[in-house]
Amino acid sequence: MTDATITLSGLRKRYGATDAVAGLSLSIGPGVTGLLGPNGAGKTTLMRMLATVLAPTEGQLRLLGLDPADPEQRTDIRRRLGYMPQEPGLHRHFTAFEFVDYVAILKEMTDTRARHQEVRRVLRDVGLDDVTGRRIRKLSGGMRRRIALAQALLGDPHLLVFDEPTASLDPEQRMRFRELASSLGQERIVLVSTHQTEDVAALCQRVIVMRDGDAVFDGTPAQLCAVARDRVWVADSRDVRARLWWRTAEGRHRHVGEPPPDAQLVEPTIEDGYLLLAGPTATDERAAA
Amino acid sequence: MSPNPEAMIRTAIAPTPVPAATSPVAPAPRAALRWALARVEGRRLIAHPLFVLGMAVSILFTVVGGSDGGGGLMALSGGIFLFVGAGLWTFVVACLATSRERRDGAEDFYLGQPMAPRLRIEAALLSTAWPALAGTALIAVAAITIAGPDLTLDSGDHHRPLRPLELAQGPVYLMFVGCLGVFVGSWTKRAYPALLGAVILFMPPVAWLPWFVYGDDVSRDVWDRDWLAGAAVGWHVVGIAGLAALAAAGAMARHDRRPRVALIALAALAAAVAGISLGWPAGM
Repeated sequence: MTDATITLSGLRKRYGATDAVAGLSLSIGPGVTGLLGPNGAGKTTLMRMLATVLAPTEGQLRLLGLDPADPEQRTDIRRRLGYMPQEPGLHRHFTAFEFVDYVAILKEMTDTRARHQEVRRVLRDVGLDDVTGRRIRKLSGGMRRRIALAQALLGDPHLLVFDEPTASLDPEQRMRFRELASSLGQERIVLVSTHQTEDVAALCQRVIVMRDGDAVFDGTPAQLCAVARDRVWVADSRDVRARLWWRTAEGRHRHVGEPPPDAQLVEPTIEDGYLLLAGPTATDERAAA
Repeated sequence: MSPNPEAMIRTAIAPTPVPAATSPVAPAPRAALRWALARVEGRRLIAHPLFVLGMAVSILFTVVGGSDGGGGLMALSGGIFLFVGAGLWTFVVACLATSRERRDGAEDFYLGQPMAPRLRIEAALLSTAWPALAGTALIAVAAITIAGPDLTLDSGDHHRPLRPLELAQGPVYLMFVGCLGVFVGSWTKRAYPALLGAVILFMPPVAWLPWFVYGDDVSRDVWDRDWLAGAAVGWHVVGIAGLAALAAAGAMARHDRRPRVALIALAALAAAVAGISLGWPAGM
């Protein structure tokens, strides 16, 4: 019997003198967990280690109770894993059906009839059942992304690792992804690495914010939102004391940071909380501290 | 952790371990996996436009070369697959198919799959049987068309029956160049080695090396030479098969460093050397 969790203990991945992941310790169970962070925060490196394609430099990693360092256990993990990399490298000359069918063989599905049924199922689940015969090179970026998503769903895996799954999806498809991922997350471990804070707010029961290879926040989306409580305000003109600001569609200026005493505070969003923790000025402040 | 107190927030989310489902896919036997992938790869090889083009050229060579007895013998013995025939394109498409993973930047994606890389290489090698089968079909049809149902070539007063080993040379040659394509493709990341290899391997004079039994005098005295007698042709087939196995071992070595690969390579080398030296035409 294996347990359906992921545990990381002092996990580190070093490239030369740089720690892409710097001693991360976490435990992740069933449900949808979002991974937020700026570019270079170590999200993709972490996702690659969780997908068993990259070995950690130090620390312990257990996936579904199994040790990916052991070749046999690693193969067993891969049998239960659905992985959608950031750059899946789709073969452009394949049709959508051919590609997913090809991946199904790599996932050890040898019975042709059952495999084809499964391929049709996952293509239907991602809304591609009407383009199964079209070559990938002729499909839009969003459709290609959905093919990458479809292959990850093959075989009903217990652990799903999605790296930037909603990039280049239109709003309707993003809603569909949320529906799919939330449904999968009822019984499975679903990890979603993304830059889309609204996806995290709408979908994830838990969010981890990464910065410089470490987790700087681990909690619920509401708690991430609360990080910015009383630290977001609007004004008619720009306040130079704010850490971040932008001009809204109404022509007012929205600020994030330490508000002045007479500030008109507004309800924060998850994005405000994220920006406070991992936004462009967070590094400077951390360095200064 | 971060010295910024606001950047150290951790809440009390403790995942509850629950029993994992059993593996969603029961592991299939390795042979079944290998053949399942080989079938798909093999079908892709023979449906590739470049291979279809090569077969069309080989058919053209058959029509042109089969007009007289000597040319017919050369064509049916595999000559139709030489130069810009199906052999060249089998090499190219096998090379492109095997290097596809790295050319498309899909290494991560493939690594995350349970099927081991060495099984994928073995499947790619097996898939070269599909072009070889297509070549066999072409040779069979051409033999009946050129030599008739009794498989006897006629040229004036000469009557010469075709031997099975002579007809086997072409398909074995296709298998060899297919394995060579897999070998090159398994070690390279880009497409140009396929093109470069094609020029080096298939453009004369180098291209003729595996086919030394067909000297440039073949059309002149093919009826009188004894180097197409059974033993020589048989050794020639052994030599080509040995080269195919050697290329296969080279491809397998990409992901499989077990001693059995070295043994295959040694056996293949022995077969290639023996086949080529014993099949060498008398007097050449």
